[in-house]
Amino acid sequence: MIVHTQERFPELRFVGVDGVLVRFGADVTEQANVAAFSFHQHIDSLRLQSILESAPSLSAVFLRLDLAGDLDATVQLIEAEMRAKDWLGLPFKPGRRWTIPCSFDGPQLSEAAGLAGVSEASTIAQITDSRLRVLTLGFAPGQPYLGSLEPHWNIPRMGGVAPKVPAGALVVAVRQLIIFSFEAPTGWRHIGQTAFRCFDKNRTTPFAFEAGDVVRFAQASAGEIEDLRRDTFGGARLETLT
Amino acid sequence: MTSSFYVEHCGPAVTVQDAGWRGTLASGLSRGGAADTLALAQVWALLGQEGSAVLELAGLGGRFEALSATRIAFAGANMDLRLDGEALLDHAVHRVEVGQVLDIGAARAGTYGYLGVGGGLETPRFLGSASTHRGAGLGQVIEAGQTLACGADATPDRVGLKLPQMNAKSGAIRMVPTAHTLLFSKDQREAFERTAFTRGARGNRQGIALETDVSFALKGGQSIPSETVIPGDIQVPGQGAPFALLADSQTTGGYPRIAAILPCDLPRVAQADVGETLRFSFVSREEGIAFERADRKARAALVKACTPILRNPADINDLLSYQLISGAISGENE
Repeated sequence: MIVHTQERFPELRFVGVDGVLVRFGADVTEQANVAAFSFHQHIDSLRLQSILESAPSLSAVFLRLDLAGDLDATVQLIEAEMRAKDWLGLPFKPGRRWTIPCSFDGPQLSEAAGLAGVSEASTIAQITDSRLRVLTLGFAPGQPYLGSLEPHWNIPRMGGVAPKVPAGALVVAVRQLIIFSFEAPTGWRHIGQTAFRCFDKNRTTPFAFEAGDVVRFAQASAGEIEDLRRDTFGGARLETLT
Repeated sequence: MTSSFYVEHCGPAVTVQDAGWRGTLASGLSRGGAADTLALAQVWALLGQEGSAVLELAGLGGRFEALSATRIAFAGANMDLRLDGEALLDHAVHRVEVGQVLDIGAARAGTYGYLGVGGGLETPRFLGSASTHRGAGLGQVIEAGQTLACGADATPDRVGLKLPQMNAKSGAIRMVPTAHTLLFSKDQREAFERTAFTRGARGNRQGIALETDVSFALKGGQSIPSETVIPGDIQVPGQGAPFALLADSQTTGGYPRIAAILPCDLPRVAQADVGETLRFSFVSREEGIAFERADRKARAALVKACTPILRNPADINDLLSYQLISGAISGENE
C-alpha cells in the first residue's frame, strides 16, 4: 500500500542499478521544493567521491552512485543526511533574481485566462506581480519550471496533438510557467514571448538558470522583444541578493 | 601525425558521438553520447583510444575518402564494409592508405554502426564532450562534402586486430525495479514480463516505442510529480504504450516508469530492428548491480581481448600475389 501522508517524507527509493531518489513530498509544494533544493545543495557541497551526480527535480533529489564503490555505505550515508536536519522545515533563501522582459501576446493567452477565471489584463498583472522561483531545470537543457502561481492557475495541459512553440516562449499549466529553451511541441498553453535564451552553448554561462533563482517578468511589447533578441540574455537583468 | 577524411556522401543520421556528459543532469542535459555504449567501447579498445570521438551511423552508412594514411575501426550494427571495393572485417581495426575509399552500407541488422579513426575526430566540444545532441544543437551532424579532421594518432601501428562480437541477441532484456515500479499492480508487472513487445517504428536517440496490444496504463489515472528520468527507464504514458528511453532522453518527466533496463542490456534495445521482438524480465537490484559490475569488468578487459586477424587462405582472392609479396608461406608466427 502506498500511504499518502507527509509523515513518510523524506523517503529514499532506488532508481535503476546506481540511482537513488530522495523524495520530500508526494506533491509539488513550496516546502518540498525548498527541501529538495536545499538537500541537493548540501549533498553537492560534501563533494563525496561515491556520489557521481546529483540533480533536484520538483520535490525530490536524484543521486547517481559510483558502482565501483561501497553502495550500502553510500546509501546509509545518504539516509543519515536525510535524517540529520528538518529539510521540510527550512525557509527559502533566495540567492539571485532575474528580471525578464516578456510580451504577453501568446496565441493561447485568452484561453489560459479563461481557464483560470480571470481577464487577460489580470493574467498579465498576476504574472508580473508574482515572485517566481526556478523550481527545477529539466526536460530540455537549461529549461526552467517556474512556480508557483496562485491556486486558480492550476489549469490542465491541453489534450490531443501538442502544437509547437518557439524558443523563448512562455507557457503555463498546473500553477507553473516554463520558458522554452528550444522550439518544441507542448501541451502547456503559450501565453507570452521572451527573447531569453535559457541555453546558449556559446555563452560563458551556457545554462542561464540555477535551481532556486528568483524570476520576475517585466511586460514588454512584441517590438521590444524582437530588438532584445540581439542580447545574449534577451534583455534580462540578473541581481545577486544578499 | 594527423589525418582527415572527405565525406563523399552519407545517410541523414551520421553524427559525432563519444561517452556524452556527466554532471549535467541538474541543468537539464541528459547523458547523451553513443546509443550503443558497448560498440563505442569496442571501437575504443580496437584503436587503443579510450574517450575519442567517433562517427555514429544510424541506419544508413556513407562513403569516406582518406585524405591521408590512417586507421579505422568499426563495431555495432551489421553494415557492409568495403575498402576500395574489398570486403573488410567489422569489429576490427585496419590500416587505410591515402586515397583509399571506405564504403559503409545500410544496416542489415541493428541500427547504429560506429566508425572510429586513428587520433579520433576533432570536432567542437561542449563541456568536454564532442557528442551530438540534436535537440540542444550540440555536436555535429555529418553532411556530404565535409572534411573531417582527426587528432594526433598515438598508436598508428595498432592495426590488424579484431574482437569477438559480444552483441549476442538472445534472452530477455534484464531490468530492475525503479521508483515507480510498485505503483503498477502485480498483474501488470507479471504481464509486462510475459509480453512479446515489438520495437515500433517510432524511435530515435531519445527512445523507442515498445508496441503491444496490452495496455500498461496505471489504474485510476494516478498522477505523479515530474521526477528525474534516466536512459534505460521504461515510461508508460497515459495511453499505456511503453517507451524505452535512450541516451538523448529528456531529464525529467511526469509519466510513471515501470522499470529501468540494465545499462549493460541497453545497447541491445538501442540496436533492435523495427519489428524485432523484445522481451523483458525483472532481476533484483542486487543481481542487477552484480551483472553491471561484471559487464564493466568485461569492458575494461576489451583492449586485451583484441586478437590478430588471422587470414584464412581460402578467403584471400589474390592469394598468389599475397604470397609473392610477403615471400613467406610458413610465417614465423605460426
